[in-house]
Amino acid sequence: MTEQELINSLKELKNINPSKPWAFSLKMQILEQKNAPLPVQHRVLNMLGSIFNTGYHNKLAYAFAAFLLVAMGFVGVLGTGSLPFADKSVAVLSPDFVIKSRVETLKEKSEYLTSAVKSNQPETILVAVKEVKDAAKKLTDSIAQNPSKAKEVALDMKNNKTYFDISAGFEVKQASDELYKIIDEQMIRDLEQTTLTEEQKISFDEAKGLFEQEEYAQALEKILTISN
Amino acid sequence: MSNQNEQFALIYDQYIGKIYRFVYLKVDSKEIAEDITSKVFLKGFEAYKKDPGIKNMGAFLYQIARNDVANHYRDSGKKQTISPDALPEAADDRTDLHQKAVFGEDVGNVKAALASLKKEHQDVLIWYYLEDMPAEEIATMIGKPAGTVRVMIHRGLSALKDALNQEG
Repeated sequence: MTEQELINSLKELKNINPSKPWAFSLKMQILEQKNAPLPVQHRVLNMLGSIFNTGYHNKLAYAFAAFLLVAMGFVGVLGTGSLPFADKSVAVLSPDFVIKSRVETLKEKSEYLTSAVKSNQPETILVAVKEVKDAAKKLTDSIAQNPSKAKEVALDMKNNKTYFDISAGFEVKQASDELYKIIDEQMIRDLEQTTLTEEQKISFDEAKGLFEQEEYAQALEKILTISN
Repeated sequence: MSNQNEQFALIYDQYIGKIYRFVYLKVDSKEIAEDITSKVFLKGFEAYKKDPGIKNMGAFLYQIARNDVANHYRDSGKKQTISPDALPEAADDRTDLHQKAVFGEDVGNVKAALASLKKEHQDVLIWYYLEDMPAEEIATMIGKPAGTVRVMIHRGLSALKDALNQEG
């Protein structure tokens, strides 16, 4: 390998990047929480470490911490979810955060699938298809629980063509249709409550027609031309 | 979101990829790289809240990253260098398919060889060739003359070549 080839190979390492959902989730954690999101084990160890700050006391602190962690694990196993601290980690995740995070996951998985399809690696494609399906299902479930977020996701989908911009077979089509369908349903409900111009009414009727024909992606495109 | 948070969000966006890459190339595990990178930005944010006037936030984050990587190896009792032969075992399963899709064999070998270099050589090669940082900026960051940094880059590249030749 010549020096130039070596440098070129080094530069290719620029392609190493963190996963987008992880990076997004970390950013939200850092900026939205008042306290650093250290795992509970670390917090317990840090607290005890600062109380018992010297010599052999450390051993005592860590032994006590180990006892606490075992005890907390035991509490968890017993399923006493009614304890005030039991669901704290879940409670800090707002629906908005969950949906944004799932949108980012879906985008990343779709990009991954696109690159797998392009490089024609059957084994990778299989894994990627499953990941896209799972991500789409999770996002669909989140929108079902928070329909008010449907429009936000729809606009994001419109602005980021990476979503499902893939020819990866029936399974992905099915998962994407379910996602489009639930967004369409909510946006149709919203538009029914809105005063529309004559032109918008025509587009709306066309969108509903597409929806009835189960052309959910096209229906969404039509809806977005109205609601903008 | 407060103004301070918005400012740090911009810093975060600018450096998250760089710091993650820097750490990942040294620890060669997605999970460990994520863990260390999280700590770097948490510490960075805490420091930024206390003193938003930190002059070179990039250098500051890199310094935390260098310390945290060193702490990781110290705590786990591992040597920092990773033998290229050990890479398949050291590699994180979750990234394996992705890495294979992204990198060819040559680049994979370079990555392994880079991990086997001295820490100071790894640092300057990553900053100079991957992050396109000028030698002067690296010099300011590590507190050495620019000429010394250029020598380090040159020696680092030779060491990388040797490591690859030994592997071959």
